[in-house]
Amino acid sequence: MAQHQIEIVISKDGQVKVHVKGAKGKACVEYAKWLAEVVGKIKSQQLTSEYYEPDSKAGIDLHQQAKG
Amino acid sequence: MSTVCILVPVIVGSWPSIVGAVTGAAAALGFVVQEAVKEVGKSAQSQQQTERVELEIDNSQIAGQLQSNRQIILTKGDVRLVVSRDHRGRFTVCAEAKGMTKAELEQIARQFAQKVTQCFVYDKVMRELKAKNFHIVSEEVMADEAIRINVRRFVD
Repeated sequence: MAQHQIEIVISKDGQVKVHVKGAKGKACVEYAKWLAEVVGKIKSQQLTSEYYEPDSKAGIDLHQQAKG
Repeated sequence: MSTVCILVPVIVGSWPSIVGAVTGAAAALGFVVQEAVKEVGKSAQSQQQTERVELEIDNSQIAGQLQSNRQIILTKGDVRLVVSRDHRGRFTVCAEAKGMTKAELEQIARQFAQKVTQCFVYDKVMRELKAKNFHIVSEEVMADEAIRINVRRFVD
């Protein structure tokens, strides 16, 4: 079971810095895209080495809702 | 590391969701809500010699045509803030006070607008994170007033 971590920093003017950790390949971009839809729009994005590593399992399910 | 991105907030929501962020910002900055959700035009007009600065918030759109032209009045000492939704649906902050310069009032209005934006974004992000089964690992307010949230979730 993989662990995906996100560090979110909301600055005092509301701008948001998102750092996705542990998610490889397209999964990290999917998280960033989802949070961009929640907050507003992407100003800048930087991919790091982990993005280019093969996915342990392709894709993530961000459409799954919380239970209860 | 895998990706780092910077997101610009867009305030899109209903009037009640904005009211929540406004009251949160008011509490954080020491303002007192005098009159909540009031119809524009019924409030007392500004007295003479009172400086007034109006600030329109970029990237804001408050939904609900039937609830247009509503406002919240906040005070802190001699400063009066009027937060409203204009006829185009945009979120505006108007600062008024006697004995203050326009620059000082603009700074107060801008600081308040930023705090409302931060509160709005925080509420929305936390709601979405919980809906997607993220576990909040840590949350802290930093020295520069930024809020840092660490979340995690396990995937198969």
